[in-house]
Amino acid sequence: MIKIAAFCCNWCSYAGADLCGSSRLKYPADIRIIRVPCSSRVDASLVLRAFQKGADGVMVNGCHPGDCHYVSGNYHTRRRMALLKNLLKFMGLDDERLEVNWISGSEAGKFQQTVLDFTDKINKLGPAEEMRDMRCQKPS
Amino acid sequence: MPKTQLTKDKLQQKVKELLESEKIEAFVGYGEGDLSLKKIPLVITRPEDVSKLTFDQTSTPLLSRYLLDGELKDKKVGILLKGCDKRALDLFEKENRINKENIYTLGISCNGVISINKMSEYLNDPTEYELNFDGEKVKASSKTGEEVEFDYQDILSPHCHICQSPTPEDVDDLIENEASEALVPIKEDGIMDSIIELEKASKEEKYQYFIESLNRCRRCFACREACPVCNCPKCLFDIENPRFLDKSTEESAQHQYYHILRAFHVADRCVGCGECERACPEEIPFYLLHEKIKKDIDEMFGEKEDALSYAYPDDVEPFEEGGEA
Ligand code: SF4
Ligand code: SF4
Ligand code: SF4
Repeated sequence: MIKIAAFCCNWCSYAGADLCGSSRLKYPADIRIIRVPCSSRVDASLVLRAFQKGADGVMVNGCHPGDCHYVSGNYHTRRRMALLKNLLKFMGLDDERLEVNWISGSEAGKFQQTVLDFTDKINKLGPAEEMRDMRCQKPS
Repeated sequence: MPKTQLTKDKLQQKVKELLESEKIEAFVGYGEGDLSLKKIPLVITRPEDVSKLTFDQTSTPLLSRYLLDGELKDKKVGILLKGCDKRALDLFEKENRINKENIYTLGISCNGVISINKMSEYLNDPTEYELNFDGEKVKASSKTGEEVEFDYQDILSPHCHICQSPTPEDVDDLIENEASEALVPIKEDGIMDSIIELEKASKEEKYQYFIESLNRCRRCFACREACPVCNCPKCLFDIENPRFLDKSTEESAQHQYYHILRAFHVADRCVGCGECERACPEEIPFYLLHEKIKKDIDEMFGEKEDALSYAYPDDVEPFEEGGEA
């Protein structure tokens, strides 16, 4: 089974995920939600760490641009993640395994759909071995 | 008289005047080291010591970082600055890490520096050789009497080929480097060419290229230590709890982690001096990573400095609905 690490900002996308749950909208159990104070807390280091330790896909979810609880946090996320995706691609790594989404606290449906689409994509791509720290692999 | 000698004389004369007139208490420049291919940073405080000062195309380590802390901080100091060194000094000033009032900047028009890594393409052990610069030619002679001649351009540091301002701007005084006329550093944009070529390569080719080169890394951290702008008081890679980077040099994931993070941490502050490239004992082209980020920053946000410290509402939106770039 694939694993997806989903960083969700406390104020929008985590609330969106919460609402998704309380509205009983179903989404695959492959995702592990990690709550962060703001999507801009997520830097290259956390994303790579997730890939190293077993994630096959990483989502960074934040408030829509303009709606950041801290006014400009997600603008930083946007810059940083755009550059990181480009760099991963430049190195021949799968940059599609990293996705950034803007999901508000009321968009339970969008959260569900995004997770469905992303799990689908990652399932097709298979395990992300190129960025994995092989010592984290269980002997099979 | 060789042109480097003329430059050296001018430099020594100037520093002597400065120290004698007590305009400065100390001067930071370059001195002869144990290796013929490398100058070492040298601090002098007495006028009679100026004869130890020197400058040529092997004066590599950037000096401005020595003003950041230690004994020189808050003293009246003079400092010899090449173009890239001046860019680093400007950066420190902007970050309020030095007091410009105390610093006398003595610029020197630079004609690039050599890269030992480049020389090793032609020589087995470059450190065995003495160098003689003569216009566009460089003569290397070993103790055993062997002589090899190079085109200066061929052993020039890759970053010097694309230096924006070899002659420092806004300095208190400028020394014209006598050798500089003969040697115009800018020949080609080798770094950018490599980047564009790699961008066009297939995914597998890119992957192979970086896996093969990054896996040679011994994690000696020389590239980090050499960089003048890479100087956080506590480096991410040294943090012990949590330990982001461990000692394994077998895992490609660890190499990717180190090099991607290093690139991100210097990209928007890099002054393009090439110290990192010259420091690497394995000749790894890891600097392409930060140069690639610099290129993207330029293309996407149209600015270079501090691009990762600021972000604006009207930046390009690569993730509009659906998350695809
Ligand atoms: S980058 Fe090279 S050419 Fe430019 S100032 Fe520095 S040493 Fe000189
Ligand atoms: S990253 Fe390399 S080229 Fe840039 S400032 Fe540091 S040492 Fe110089
Ligand atoms: S200098 Fe070279 S070998 Fe040393 S850590 Fe940097 S890239 Fe690795």
